[in-house]
Amino acid sequence: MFPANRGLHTSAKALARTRFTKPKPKPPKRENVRLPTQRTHHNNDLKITAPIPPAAANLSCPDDHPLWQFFSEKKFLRTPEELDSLSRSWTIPELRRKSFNDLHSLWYTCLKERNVLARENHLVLFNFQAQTEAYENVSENIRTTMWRIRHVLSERDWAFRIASENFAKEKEAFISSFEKDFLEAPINEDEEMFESLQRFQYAVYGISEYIDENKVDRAFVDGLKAVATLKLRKFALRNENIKTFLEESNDAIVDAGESFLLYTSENTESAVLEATNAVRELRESGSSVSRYDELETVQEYMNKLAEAQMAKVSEAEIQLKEETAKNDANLL
Amino acid sequence: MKPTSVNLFQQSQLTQLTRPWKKFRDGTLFYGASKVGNKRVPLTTKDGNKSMYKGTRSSGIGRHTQYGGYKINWSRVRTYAVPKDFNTDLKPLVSHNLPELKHQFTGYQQGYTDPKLYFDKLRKYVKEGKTQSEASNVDSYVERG
Repeated sequence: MFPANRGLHTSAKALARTRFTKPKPKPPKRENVRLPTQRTHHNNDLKITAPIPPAAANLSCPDDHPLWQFFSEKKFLRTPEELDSLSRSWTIPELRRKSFNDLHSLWYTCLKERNVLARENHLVLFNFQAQTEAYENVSENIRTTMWRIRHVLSERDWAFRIASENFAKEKEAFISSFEKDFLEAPINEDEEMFESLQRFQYAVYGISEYIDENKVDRAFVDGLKAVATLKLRKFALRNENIKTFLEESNDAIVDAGESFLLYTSENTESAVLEATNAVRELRESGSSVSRYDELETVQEYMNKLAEAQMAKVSEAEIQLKEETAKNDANLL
Repeated sequence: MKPTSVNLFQQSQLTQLTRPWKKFRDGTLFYGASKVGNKRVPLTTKDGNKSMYKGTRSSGIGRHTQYGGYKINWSRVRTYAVPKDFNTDLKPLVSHNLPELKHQFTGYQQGYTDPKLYFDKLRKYVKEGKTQSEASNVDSYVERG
């Protein structure tokens, strides 16, 4: 007998599942899904509450709300009598004495005050239909301060530009007059003279006493050489060995590596003598920095110097901590 | 007989009366509500014809999305550089009792921007470091500059 569900010879093929035998993998989660436009108060979560009576007590505002900056001492409106109508604007000579940061701060203080005045002015004009002259006058005084700040900054910029243009002419005389003062000063003025040297190198070559402020460029490297030479000349007057070393190097240090060594040595006779000995050893071993890789080499040296200083500082900090801990333990 | 004004030859009485000359097609004035009074007032956003757009210089910092949102392009947003250590001691105005400080640039023809003055200051800085000027004395109201 045949089974009851017997099909034709093609039925098996027709019934066979050829597509999607495995369930389809889920699509990846979409990142950019649009949120519903109404996200609060759907019909199902609306609740009826007791009415809130309109009263000032129901309103609260944090004391440090940024919009308070548009109010003077959190007052809604100052009367014209309360305004500072007697004071005058800053004058240009007064502003000339101020640093950039001070001028920048003053600018923003003025701006904020003018915003407060503008708000009050608007209120008085459109809501109370009263005279706004008092507010306008104070605002105008502040505006005068503001244009004067800009004037002073522009003046400073022009002074710097004109001086930079003229510096090429003045440079030689400037350097030679400083060298004269520096070399002729007696031993007991050494400390002041080396402080003055620091300011000089900053003014002429842009070498700052803070390592990380410096940018190694051509002027910087030339400055290093000049300063190293100057230092040698200072101590050559007192020490024969240094003098002969200076004569050996034709009265000028031309190698960047040597100048770096001399520059970083301490400002004492013995330290400079040690540095000259080290330079002599360098010369004997025949190591010198070519003019083409001066900038890179000096940058490397500067990085190493900065690292060494950082290590020193952190060591000192650790020591200080240990000491304080010990002291605390002793006290306890 | 009194001579006629030259201006009157160039413009007829009628054109004189119908100033300003720019008008819309329907005859209303291009700007200004009336023909008399001051016409040189700044245009507002409501003035002008259909091609006149006066914005508030406050938009155009991003683009609209297809869902009705707005995507801000932060590089086009105005930013303000505020001083790092804000000095709040300085007030916008100075007491009227304080006499005004005067600068006299004797010997420096170009005044504050004179290069000679700059180099003199630089020399002084190298020699003495950052020192107070002579006029930091409160009683002195005249200084070199």
